[in-house]
Amino acid sequence: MKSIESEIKDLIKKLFSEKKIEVFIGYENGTLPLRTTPYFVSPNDDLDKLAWNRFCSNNLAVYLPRVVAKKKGGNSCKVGILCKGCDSRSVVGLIKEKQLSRNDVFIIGIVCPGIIDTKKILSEIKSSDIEHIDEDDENIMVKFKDGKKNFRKKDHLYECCINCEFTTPFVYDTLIGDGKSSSNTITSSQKVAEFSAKSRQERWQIFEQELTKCIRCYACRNACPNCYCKECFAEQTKPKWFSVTNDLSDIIFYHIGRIFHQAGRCVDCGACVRACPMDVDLRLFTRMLVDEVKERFGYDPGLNFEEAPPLTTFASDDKQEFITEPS
Amino acid sequence: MKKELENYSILNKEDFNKFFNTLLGKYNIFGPSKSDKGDKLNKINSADDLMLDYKNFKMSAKEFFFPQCETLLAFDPSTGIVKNRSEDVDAKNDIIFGIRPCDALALSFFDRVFKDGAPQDPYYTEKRHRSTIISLACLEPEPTCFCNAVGCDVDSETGADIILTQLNSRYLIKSVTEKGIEILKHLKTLIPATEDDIKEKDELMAKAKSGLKSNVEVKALKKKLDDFDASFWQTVHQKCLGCGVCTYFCPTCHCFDMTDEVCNNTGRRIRTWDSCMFPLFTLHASGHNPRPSYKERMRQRILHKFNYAQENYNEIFCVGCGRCIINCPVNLDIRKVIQEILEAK
Repeated sequence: MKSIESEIKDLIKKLFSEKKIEVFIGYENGTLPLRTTPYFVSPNDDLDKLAWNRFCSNNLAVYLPRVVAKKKGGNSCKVGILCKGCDSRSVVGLIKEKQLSRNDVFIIGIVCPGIIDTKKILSEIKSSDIEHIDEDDENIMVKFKDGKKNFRKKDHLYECCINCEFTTPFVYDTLIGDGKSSSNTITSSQKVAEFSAKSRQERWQIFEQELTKCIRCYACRNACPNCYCKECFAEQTKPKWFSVTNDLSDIIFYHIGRIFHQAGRCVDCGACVRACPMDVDLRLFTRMLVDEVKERFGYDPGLNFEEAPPLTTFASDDKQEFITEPS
Repeated sequence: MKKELENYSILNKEDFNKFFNTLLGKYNIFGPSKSDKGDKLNKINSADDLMLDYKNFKMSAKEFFFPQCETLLAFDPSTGIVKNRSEDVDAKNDIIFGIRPCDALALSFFDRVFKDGAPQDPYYTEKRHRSTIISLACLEPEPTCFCNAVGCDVDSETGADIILTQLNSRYLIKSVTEKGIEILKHLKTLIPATEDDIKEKDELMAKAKSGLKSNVEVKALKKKLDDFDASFWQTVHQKCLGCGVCTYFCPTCHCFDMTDEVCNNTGRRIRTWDSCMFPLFTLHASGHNPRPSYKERMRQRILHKFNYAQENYNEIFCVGCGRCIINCPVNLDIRKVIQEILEAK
C-alpha cells in the first residue's frame, strides 16, 4: 500500500504538471526533534522533502491570505494546501469572511489522526539531546542521550486534538487518508469544563494568572488564521485603544480583544496555544468561547459555506439569558 | 604563584553557600531561578533559590538591563515636576550571577550600542555601572546552541567580570576584569587554584565544545548579504509569521519604542521593546511603510545582525544561544536561513 506521504507527493506532482496550482503549502521535517516546519513548494522544488506525520502541527491556512494576495495581478492561479480537519475549517472561515475566494485554493484534505504534542513528550525526557526517533502504529520511540523511552501516541496528543470532533475535513478538493477517522468520543475538554464551572471571580483570577506570563510577542495572533486584520487593534495608533506596556491591564486588554473577536469563528485548531513561547493556556478561554457559541447558537464554524456565522445574524429564539439588565 | 594562575581561585562546593551569602550581604544578586515566566533572572534572596543546573534559561539576561517596559521619567504638568527614574536607586550594587557566556557576550554588544558610543544611554549605563557579571561556563551545550559558529564559545569571557566553571566538587573562578578582582578580594572562602584545576577545566571545556554540532559558517555571509536585492530574500521569509518571538528572546536585539503615557494630567515616558518584525516598526506618519511585507522585515533582521553590525561594530550581533530556534512557532531556524543564503546562487 502506498504511504499517505507518497500519495500526497504524487498528487502534488500531478497538480503542478496540470498547472492547477502554482505553489503548494505543506510540511517538511523540522530542525528540532519531533517537529515539522511549513514548506512552500514551487513547481521545480524537491518533493522528497515533503512530510506528513504526526508532528504536522502548524495550521497552514494562516499563510493563505498573503500568498494568494501576492499572486493576484498575474494570471489567476491556485495555491495548493494540505489541510487537516481544523485547518480546512480555517480555510472555509477565510473564504466566508471574503479573505480568499474558493477558486484561489486547492485543498488537499487529510484525515487527521491527531497531532502529537511535542512539548508533552519533551517534558518527560530529561535530556534535550535526542538521537533517534522511531514510531509504530501506537507508539513513538525516542532514543536520547541517556536512554530511551516509548510514548503512547494517544496519550500525548495536543489538548485540542483530544477533544476534536472534526478530524476529517468537510470541505476539500481531494481527500487523502483511509477514511476511518479516529472519531473522538470525548468532545468536551475536562479542563475547560472545570474552568467554566468556577465562579466568575475564580475564573478571572485564573485568567489573570495565565496572562501574567504573556510577553506581548503576538505569536498567538500571528499564528491564528482568523487574525488577518491588516492593522491589528493592538497596534492602532489612531485611535490608540490601549498602551504598549507589559502591565497586566494592557496585556488583558489585548487578549480580551483578540479572544472575543474569535466568537463564532475559532475552530479550536490550537495554533495560538502552540505558538505561545510562554505556555499561556489560551485554549482555556478560546475553547470556552467555542463551547458557548455551540451551546447558545448550535454553530460550529468552518463546516460549510452556507450557514451564517451567529454574530452576523439573529433568530427570534436565540438564547439571551446572558444579556443582563443594567443595574 | 605562576602568572597564569594569578586570576584563578577555587571555591569548594561545601563553601558555596557561605561564599554566596557573603556576596548577598553586600550586593543585590540576580540569578537564574524558577518563576511563572519560566527559568529566568530573578532577584535571589538565598543561595537555595539559585538554580545552577540549567542549560540556558528561557529569557535572556537583556531584560535586566533593558526591561521590556521601562519608565524613563514621570511628569505632572499641574505641579511642573518631572521625576527622573534614576533618582531612586538602591544603595547596593548588583551582581548578575550565573548567566551563560553567550548572554555575557551579548551584553558586551549592548555596551557598544548603549554605553560606549555617543550618545550614551543614561538608563542602561547606570545599571551597567552598578553591576558585576559573573558568568557560568557551559558544560553541556543544547542541540540548538551554535555559539561556536558566531564567534562565541562555551567559555567566552567577553562581557563577564568573573567566569565560573563547575569542576568536580568545586568551582574554578576566574576574574576577568578589575571589577571582578575587586569583588573577590578578601573572600575567605576562596583558595588558590592549581595547575591541575586548570587542566580539569580545559578538559571539560574541550568536551563541551565537542558537543556543539552546528557547522554554520558565517564568515562568507557578509559578502552575500551585501547584495540587498538578492533573490534569496524572496523565499527565506516565506514561513515567517511576523511575530516578535525571535527578537524578544534574542539577547542582542535592542530596538525600542518610546511613548508618553498620559492619564488625568499626569504621565510617564516609557521605553518598550520593539521588533523589526512588526509592521508598525517602520510605519511612517504618512501611512507609507518602507518595509511593507514579511520579506523586507525578515531581511532587516538578518542584515542588522550579520551585516550592519559588522560594518558598525565589527561584530556579529548573534551569539548563537539558540533561543530564536527553540521558541519560533514555525521552526524557522536561523541556522538554516544562513545555510540557504550561503547556498543561494
